[in-house]
Amino acid sequence: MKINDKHKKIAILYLLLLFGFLLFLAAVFKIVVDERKMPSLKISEKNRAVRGDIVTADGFRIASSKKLYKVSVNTRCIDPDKRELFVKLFSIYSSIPAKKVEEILNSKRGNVVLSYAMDAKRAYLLKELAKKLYLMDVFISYEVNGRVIKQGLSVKESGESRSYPYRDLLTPVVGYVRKYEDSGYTKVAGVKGIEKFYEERLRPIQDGLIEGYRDIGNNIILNKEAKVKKRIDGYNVHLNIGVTLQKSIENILDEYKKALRADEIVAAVMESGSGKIVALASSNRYYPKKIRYKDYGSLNASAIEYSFEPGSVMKPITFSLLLEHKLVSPYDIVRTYNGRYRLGKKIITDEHKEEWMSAENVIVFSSNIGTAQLAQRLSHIQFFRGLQKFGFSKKSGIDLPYEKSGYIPPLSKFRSEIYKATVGYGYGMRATFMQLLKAYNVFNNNGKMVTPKIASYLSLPNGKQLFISNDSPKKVLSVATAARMNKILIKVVQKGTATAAKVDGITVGGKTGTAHIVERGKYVKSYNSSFFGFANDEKRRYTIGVTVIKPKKHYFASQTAVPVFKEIVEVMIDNGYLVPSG
Amino acid sequence: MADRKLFVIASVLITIGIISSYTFSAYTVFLYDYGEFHFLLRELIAGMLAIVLMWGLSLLDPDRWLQPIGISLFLIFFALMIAMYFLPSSMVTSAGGAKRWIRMPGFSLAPVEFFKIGFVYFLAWSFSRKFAEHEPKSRLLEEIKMVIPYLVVFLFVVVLIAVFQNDLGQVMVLGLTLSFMLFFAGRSFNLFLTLIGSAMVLFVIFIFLSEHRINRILSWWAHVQNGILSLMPEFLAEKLRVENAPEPYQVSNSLNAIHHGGLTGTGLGEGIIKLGFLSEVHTDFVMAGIAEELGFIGVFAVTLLIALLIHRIFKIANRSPKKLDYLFCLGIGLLLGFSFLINTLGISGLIPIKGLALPFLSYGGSAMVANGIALGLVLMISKKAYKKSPE
Repeated sequence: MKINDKHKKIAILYLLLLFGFLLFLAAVFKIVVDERKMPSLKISEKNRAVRGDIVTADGFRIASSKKLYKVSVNTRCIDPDKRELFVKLFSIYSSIPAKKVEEILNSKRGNVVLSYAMDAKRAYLLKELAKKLYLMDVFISYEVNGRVIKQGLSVKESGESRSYPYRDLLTPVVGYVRKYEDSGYTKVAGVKGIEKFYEERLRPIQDGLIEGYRDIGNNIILNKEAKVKKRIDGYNVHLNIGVTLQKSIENILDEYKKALRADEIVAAVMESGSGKIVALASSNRYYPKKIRYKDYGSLNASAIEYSFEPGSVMKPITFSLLLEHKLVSPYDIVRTYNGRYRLGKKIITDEHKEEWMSAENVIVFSSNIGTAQLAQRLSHIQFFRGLQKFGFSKKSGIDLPYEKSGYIPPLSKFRSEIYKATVGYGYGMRATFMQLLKAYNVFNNNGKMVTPKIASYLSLPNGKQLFISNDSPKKVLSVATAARMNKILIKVVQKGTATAAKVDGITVGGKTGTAHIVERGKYVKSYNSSFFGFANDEKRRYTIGVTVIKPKKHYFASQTAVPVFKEIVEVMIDNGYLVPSG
Repeated sequence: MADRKLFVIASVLITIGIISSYTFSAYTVFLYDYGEFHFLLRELIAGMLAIVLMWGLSLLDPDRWLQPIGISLFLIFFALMIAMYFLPSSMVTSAGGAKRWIRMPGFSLAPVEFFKIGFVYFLAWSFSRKFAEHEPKSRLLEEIKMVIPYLVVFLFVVVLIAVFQNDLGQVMVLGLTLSFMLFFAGRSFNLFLTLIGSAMVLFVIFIFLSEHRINRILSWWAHVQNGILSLMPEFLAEKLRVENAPEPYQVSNSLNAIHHGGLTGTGLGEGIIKLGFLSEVHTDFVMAGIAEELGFIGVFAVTLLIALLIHRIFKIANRSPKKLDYLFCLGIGLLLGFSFLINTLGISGLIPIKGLALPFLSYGGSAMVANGIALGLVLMISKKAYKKSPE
């Protein structure tokens, strides 16, 4: 009886316990089955890719991007007892004065933004701080509508900022960018220059993305369910231009612009064999980060966007066409009428007045009269096609946007004596600085034409390189004609209008041009003075152009563009681009 | 021959506890920069020690060894718990003002875990001597007089554990165990109800002593009210409804973990709520962690194991001819059962109690070893338990 009693009591006790266990299991089952508002357990973290850099041949990053970060905190989640600690630590980590932090925190309750533009390094430090603050229990939970909320210090990417550490260097060629918003994130896009031309390449390729479950500190768990996408920044564009030569040339242009009281001076140096632009400078530059109203005129790259009547620098082109078609020999004698000649209704004059001149000297002394008569020997087709072959009225193909193509009269006009004469010495047509440079390069490159290129190759941060393809050289002149033209251009420097360009130990040739400017249909007392030519040593050959737009002090090219040319050759020697012989 | 089944079940539970200490400590390890195996290593040593102790104790003769071991557990750890207050703070680890651990070379010791075993032995030993010859049908007042010495001892224990160690859960387990053991020792059901009733009154007073505790009860009620109020008449339900009380943070995340686990769980080691959302997931909330990673099925399996374990212990109690053995086994079964019940009902939000370790599964070396000793003693007794009690 007693035993049975004991047995029963134990059994009842056990059933009581079992009932408790079942209650628990039922509760668990109900929690599993019932709907429940869960905290968001999956998050994704974007590691945005940035725009590629623009890098010079000597390795300077003249345009680069950095990410900016937004730092925010929920004031309700800061433990009031630890608020002072938060302010102090945050101030130290962010370099924002404690007073300012306090001010922001007091501005309203809830989420406040402590900074919109924290740089990457500080953002990293602040993320570390966020973890530490969490460990120090600085953040507390609060509750809205039955939901418990606990937020820490949030550091998120807010946008990209483009910086130009060398300020106005290589502008306007390098160009500038504009900002735009993409779902709360600030992005940039090229508007002009290299920034625009290589927009597709510079643009960030793929944002990094990590998506997966998180812990309470918002660290993403890299388990099998996590998705990871690599961040791939845009291509870096590597230029043929080096900072040292470019900067020296810009300094020269600045000096001469002041001295000559010119509107602008443009100069370029091109490697004759390859078409690589090793310097392309303007006296009118701006700081792409802060473009002011008075910079508006400088935003366009005059070397490609400004076309003008070239004047006498066209004479060697005309002459080379005559040579190529065997219509003239350098030793032919041409009558130049003592500097005054009537063609139809038009009176043509020369600065260098002589009754007779050798055909060669027509170029050496820049005779308008001689050129006008010699040009008549070209048929209209020969002349028109010849100019086209030299690249006139066509874009040079340089890697810059918004290039102008200039103008030459239509084929039929070349039947006219007057048109042949005026185009022959560079009027009645328009060309850009870059078209002329490209054309002159033919004389220094055995008659072959190459496309000028500012950028050399593209690269990715992982070292992968992508070369920019260039068109194969096109034959414009025979080797013999090119060599003959070379000699004539050297003679111009030795004996003719450009003796000021002479540099000891360097083979220098070229042609001056002082072109009257037409304003509102009339020639005014304003000029564009140019010198296009080359400077070679035993190993290297460079085609160099200088155009001085509207100089006020002197206007003859021999006094404006030529001295600039000479100084450029000299800095090229200083920087090891050219080595004088002897 | 000791009870093999009990040994196997306990070993399985200990193994689960060891694995738990690894998977659920992941975030703590990361947060405090511990080594990856910090918790696993300690729990592994404790778990193996517990198994070895179980086996070793089961080999001994209960008639010779049970008494010295039981009494010394009671006396030594009672003394240690008192001594803890006089020890320099460099030797005692305190958490939130409660001194719970004595620092020893290489590890910390929680005396209360061992004391509980000793206390159960003390009660079993004392009840079996005192109440055996008394008739259970005496009057309530006389009965109360009789149990007063125990109540005094228990009150002293309450002060030691509830007040000094701030560990209400342990006191509840001990109080319940005491009440049930008295009843099973032959005292009347009336006495049992009186004790349970006065304990409830004391409990309510204790709660109303602190606003923090009232809030905890309120938020618990806000959470469970819907289920209970729906069974009540409308006018009463309206009066009892509490609006917009926040779900307590930890319990809220405990429920999140259970819900996230679903029926089959996220898979071992794949839990997310355990990563900082649910703090103390490797200690008090280990069952929520199991629910997340192994799902309802895992929880069911563990509960089944505990139920089987207690079943074995009660079976041994039932078959033990000696009253002392019977009461001791019953006490140990109750100790484990109540701990499990209070913990699991707490983490599922059914009762407003938290802060009690789950036997075998929660991280903690002292509890693990103490439970090993307890089961070792039960195994020792099981050799004298017979299928048919001699009549």
